[in-house]
Amino acid sequence: MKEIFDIILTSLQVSLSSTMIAAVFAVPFGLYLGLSTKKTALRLRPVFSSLAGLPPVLAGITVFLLLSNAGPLGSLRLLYSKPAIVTAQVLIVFPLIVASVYPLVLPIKAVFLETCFGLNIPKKKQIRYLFSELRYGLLAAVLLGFGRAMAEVGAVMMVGGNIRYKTRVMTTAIVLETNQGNYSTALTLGIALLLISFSINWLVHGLFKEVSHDPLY
Amino acid sequence: MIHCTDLSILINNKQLLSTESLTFEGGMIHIIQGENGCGKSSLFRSMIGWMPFSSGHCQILGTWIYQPQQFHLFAPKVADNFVNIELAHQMLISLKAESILSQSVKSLSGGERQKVALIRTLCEEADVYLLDEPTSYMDESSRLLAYYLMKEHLLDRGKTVLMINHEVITQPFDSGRLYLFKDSKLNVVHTW
Repeated sequence: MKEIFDIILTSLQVSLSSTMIAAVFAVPFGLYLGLSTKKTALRLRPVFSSLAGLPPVLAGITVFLLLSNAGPLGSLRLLYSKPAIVTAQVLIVFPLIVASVYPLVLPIKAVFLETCFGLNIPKKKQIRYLFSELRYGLLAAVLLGFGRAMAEVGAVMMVGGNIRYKTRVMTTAIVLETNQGNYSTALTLGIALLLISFSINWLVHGLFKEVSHDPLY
Repeated sequence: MIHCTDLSILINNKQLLSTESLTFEGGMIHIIQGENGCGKSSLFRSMIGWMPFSSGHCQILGTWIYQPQQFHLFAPKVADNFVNIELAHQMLISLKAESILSQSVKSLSGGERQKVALIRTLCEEADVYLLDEPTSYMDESSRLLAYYLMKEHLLDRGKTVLMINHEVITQPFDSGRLYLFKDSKLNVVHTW
């Protein structure tokens, strides 16, 4: 039982860390992509939408090659550690959050910017208004990223190594326990993962329900 | 006061405006009318620099505030739209809409949204006010109250007000000009 809790804790630890790191950069970048009219930004939008569906093993092998002994960051000796898992998850979650954030801006962009310009609202205040305006959508985007990080198997296995009491997370543990025939443990972990996933979705659903003031919906 | 010279607005190869000289004097209301899509909103946008003129230039003497036809209200609460809540509350009382101050922006009707946007604009201090159809969704009595509010807070204090409006309304305003935007020209059709 202690081991299961340790696995759950490790999962939450790495997934929360990677989501927070990715969100800190992805949310402002996504807002910038949505607001900007520069050609580069317009070209980057479909790139990030495509990267949102990045095969996790690709992120895994990239981090693996970077952190392996022969790789450029090999001297840091981070392979098969929690930071390695976090790095791989950041690579997976970052484009997903960016791709979820920039479309939030597009429907209100023109009217919002024209209103702010007309009222001579300074840039800093505009950003504050925008965060306030899109807070539910932004939170949903971050939670989506968290869910993605929690569910990740391939990349985590590749760079984390599934080491007991060190880098074993729920998904990799489920794979291992299933392969070893320990179906009850695998199932317990699966149910725990499902409950966490449901909790996240209920939270998002609850937040969106709060947004709607239309009596018809 | 606003002074424009040799103005020309061209959008998608369509000449929206072409005029030699235009002056909008201060202390009176300038009501601009015209068919849909004739370029009234584009003129306002160009005046404030949101959209470039094809040629010519426009000079606004002093500070300005512009309320676009399609505006954004800052969420979540109506009160989030005002810096001076006390003044906004007084104006909302004038429009008989004080109850909406504590409401959520998303729960407002079209007319209520316009009341909030108009009051937000009127609460801002400037020399020139450009209002693009600020009362189009309001009911008749609210529109009249809004005009009196504009007179009291802007015109009686010597501000210049330019308003795009489809309704011919002169009664609440002591002095003003009515313009008709037609065939790429802006002509004065009535002065009082």
